[in-house]
Amino acid sequence: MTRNEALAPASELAKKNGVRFPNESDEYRRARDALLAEEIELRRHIERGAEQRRALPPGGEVTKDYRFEGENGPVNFVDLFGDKQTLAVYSYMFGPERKKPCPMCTSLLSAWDGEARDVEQLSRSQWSRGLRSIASSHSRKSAAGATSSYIQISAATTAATITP
Amino acid sequence: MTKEDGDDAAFNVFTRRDGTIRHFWSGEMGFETADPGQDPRGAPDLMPMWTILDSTPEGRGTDWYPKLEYTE
Repeated sequence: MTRNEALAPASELAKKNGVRFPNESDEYRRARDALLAEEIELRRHIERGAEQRRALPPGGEVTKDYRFEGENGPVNFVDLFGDKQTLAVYSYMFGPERKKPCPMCTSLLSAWDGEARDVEQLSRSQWSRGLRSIASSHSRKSAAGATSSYIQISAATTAATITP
Repeated sequence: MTKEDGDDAAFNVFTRRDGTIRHFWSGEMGFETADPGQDPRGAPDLMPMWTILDSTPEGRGTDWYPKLEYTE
């Protein structure tokens, strides 16, 4: 890709890093600089992936009429967008067959909850739950926190995976 | 949600342009795309805690799991 041709080789860029820590050995610094070159390449790899993702052709149209129970009553899928053009939805493992939500999902949502409002400057983010009312949630307070909107899928909706 | 009324964790991104809602991107790295000996995982990972643990000599560990509650 043309952008890569303009970038300095990672090992050269790493050499320019002047960071040193007290009492570090030469062996440590050599290994740390080699790792830094790898980290620079990782950064570039992540950004190439994001660029490739942004360039995807339009995806499949969503034609199913999904309905959800929001905090303030029933909402349609399009309502989740608010005033934004893009919607990011995390589906939380907490369906009716579970007495408690998935701890891994809860951990993820606890972290995302802190940044949800920042993300929402650009996209609407919905961390949606499975078929369980928020009031009876067993999850940690931070996962049920105040900064994100939580939507529960009402029993009336079609239980189908959202597929393109 | 799965056909059996179960649920799977998923991260999906949708767009609304000119009144049309489209699917944009979902994570697709599951069991089929996992490397040998690994639990399925995506990249970049969605969870910050893996980044934190990757910066430690002990790494992510293998015999633990997040808990819903922690007693102090």
